[in-house]
Amino acid sequence: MLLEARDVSFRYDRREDWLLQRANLRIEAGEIVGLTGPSGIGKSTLARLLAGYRKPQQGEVRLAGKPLPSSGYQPVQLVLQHPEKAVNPRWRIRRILREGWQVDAELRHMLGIAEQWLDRWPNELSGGELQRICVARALGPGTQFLLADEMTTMLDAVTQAQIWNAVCEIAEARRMGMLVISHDAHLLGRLCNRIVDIDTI
Amino acid sequence: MALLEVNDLSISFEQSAGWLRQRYIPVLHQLQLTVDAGEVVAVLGASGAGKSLLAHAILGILPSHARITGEMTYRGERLTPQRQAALRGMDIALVPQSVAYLDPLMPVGEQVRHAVKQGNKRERQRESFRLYRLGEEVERRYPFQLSGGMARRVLVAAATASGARLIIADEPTPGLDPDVMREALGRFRELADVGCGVLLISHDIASALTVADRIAVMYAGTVVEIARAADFAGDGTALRHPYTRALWQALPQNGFVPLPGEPPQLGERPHACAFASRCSAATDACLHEQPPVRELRRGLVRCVHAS
Amino acid sequence: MIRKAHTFLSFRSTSWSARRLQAWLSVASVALLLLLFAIGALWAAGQPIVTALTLRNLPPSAAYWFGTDWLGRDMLIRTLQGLQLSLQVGLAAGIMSAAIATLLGVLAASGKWADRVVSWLIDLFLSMPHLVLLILISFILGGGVQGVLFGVALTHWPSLARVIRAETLQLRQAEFIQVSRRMGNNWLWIGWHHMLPHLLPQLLVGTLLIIPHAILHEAGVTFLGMGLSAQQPAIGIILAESMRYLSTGMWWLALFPGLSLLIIVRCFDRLGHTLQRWTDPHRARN
Repeated sequence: MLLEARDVSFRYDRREDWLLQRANLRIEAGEIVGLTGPSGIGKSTLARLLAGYRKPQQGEVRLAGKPLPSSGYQPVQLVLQHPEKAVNPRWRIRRILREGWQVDAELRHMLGIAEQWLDRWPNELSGGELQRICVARALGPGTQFLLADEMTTMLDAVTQAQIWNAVCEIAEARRMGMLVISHDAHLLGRLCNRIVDIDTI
Repeated sequence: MALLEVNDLSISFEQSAGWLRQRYIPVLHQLQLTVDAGEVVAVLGASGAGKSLLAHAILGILPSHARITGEMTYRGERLTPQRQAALRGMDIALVPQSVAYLDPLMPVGEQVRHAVKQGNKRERQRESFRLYRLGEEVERRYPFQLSGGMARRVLVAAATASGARLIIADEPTPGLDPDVMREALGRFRELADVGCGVLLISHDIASALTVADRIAVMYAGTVVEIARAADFAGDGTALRHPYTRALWQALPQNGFVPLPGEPPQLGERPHACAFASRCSAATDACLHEQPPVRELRRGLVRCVHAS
Repeated sequence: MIRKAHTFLSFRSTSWSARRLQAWLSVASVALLLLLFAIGALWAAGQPIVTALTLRNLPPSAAYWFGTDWLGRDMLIRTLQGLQLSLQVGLAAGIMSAAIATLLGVLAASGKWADRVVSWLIDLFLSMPHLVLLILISFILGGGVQGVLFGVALTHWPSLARVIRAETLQLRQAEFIQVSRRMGNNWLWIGWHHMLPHLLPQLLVGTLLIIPHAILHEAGVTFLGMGLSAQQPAIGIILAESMRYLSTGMWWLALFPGLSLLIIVRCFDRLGHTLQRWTDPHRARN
């Protein structure tokens, strides 16, 4: 299994400069790739293209040699920086965890999601607690690649370590591929098999 | 005399339970803190620990359903709501968390001039823009025309230009790349070096340690430890509270050790040490009594076992 | 959902409990007024309007609160019946308007071309004088209840449609909606489960705020003789007739029906605005 961006170029508006130009990236199953570089030059955009949130104007994104599926649960899942934006504020946690698939007790336990959170509203959980919910939701049985765009940037060190330890364990067990976007060189050093700079792709 | 002194500060929120009844949800509990002139004090902790509430309490901008007890003094005098209103923006300035605090419909130069309360507005604004390497053309720009880094510099420039003596910065650096972050934090160090007191609120220990003199660690609504920056070294044996040690050891560069468990819900078990459920050294005493604050090795700690 | 940035370094704080109390009082008083009206209308519906030539042109008194007209009819009963009819037409037209607004607003958010067409329609309707268009439509449809109903319904949707369009567009870009797509949910499902609950408060407020306009315009068109027919006890008819007798000093024929109309309309307006404040996303949810 291979997720790749082939010569992708992207810009939001025809009048603007390219955010990404002829970028290439390959992530193998079971591989953890770090992506780093200064703000505002396309790291998040590349992640959004790889997860199918946007289509590149040129080039293509391929999963196992084929384009990403256009409907159904996506095998490439993206977790973003701000969990409070990624959940419907009017849904209870229990319902959020059912949105894509039924998150099971085992995964909840691994991510430290307590039973009593399930009946609360999103604004009754802290950022760290809510991010675990988002991670759990993205780890359905159909997920083959997990893209983490500054997933733990807003969290304290203890929560960050908790989440990453659980995610890495799951990724290893399932031979899932991962892309980790972060400014924290120490974090990437801890997690990744290889680190690429956005400028060089 | 400390510039700012916070003593036994507790806050609870009034919540409607039914149509007319109310109950109080405690959110901050008997918090101690001082900030001296010339000093950067970082307040560290997880989201939900009450860091921003502390900042809002000092500024006097808590929502009206908050109940406050305890004492805050600024330059030795009590901070009353009237005094807070008078000092806010004059002596005490906030560098807000988000660039969204800038008015999108007003040129940034004008916004900074509004913040100036003493002296010649235009001169002070120009001076602070020069200090933060913001060109004169930036004055006339609107917030949407600025890069993220520039907008943050404008926010800091506004705080400097206001002539405030106490600067409160609420999470000013999340998601910045290392160069921009170093620069942004360096500004706060400079402010302290010219005699201001800076209260830097952050969840990022590593970056806060690069500029802070002292670190206050918050957990579940209270300060569990106040340490010197130098105490954060090696495997953390110089630290006083087990939570601080856990934070330090959870850094990717220090072991990446995940401490299991979660902070308790607000208001849950008011008569126990909030950390007891996750503490390996917890004893019976920890479950029946809130540990008092005590001085230890030129710092403060709220743990009966610390030595 | 639109976030307004705070003016930098200026902070507002209003008393939370006081605002709550004010909102409750406002709703309570409006509810009381509407209840009174409903009781009155029920009572009036059972009363036949009798012409009593001996009781002609009486000014307001204890027996005839609103006075009587040139045929000796009780103006209180006429007013209450007229208001009821106006209210029914206004409510129906308002709800129809809101339905059109929702349909077009959501349609506009679904694609570029649909958006262009709908936006053009909105601009077109907003650029024409309300009343002229309303009279035109009513006239084409042959007047009467049907004419007024469609006339009002077809002219009052554009501003709400614009709000719904903007909300829907913004929702489509919201992260949690995008995530929902990646979780394998189709747009229909997302529209029902995610978007509708977000739009519902806006819709409710929008409808409530259309209703007073609809009532006034119905009365207005009828007053001008291009709405409900003269046989119907509409408030517009009553006001139009009263004009002929105003010069003879029969002030009560116009004053009380007009005042009642105003109060009812203000009630709906107040209700809408209170609800609007309540559902305002800027207010922290406690």
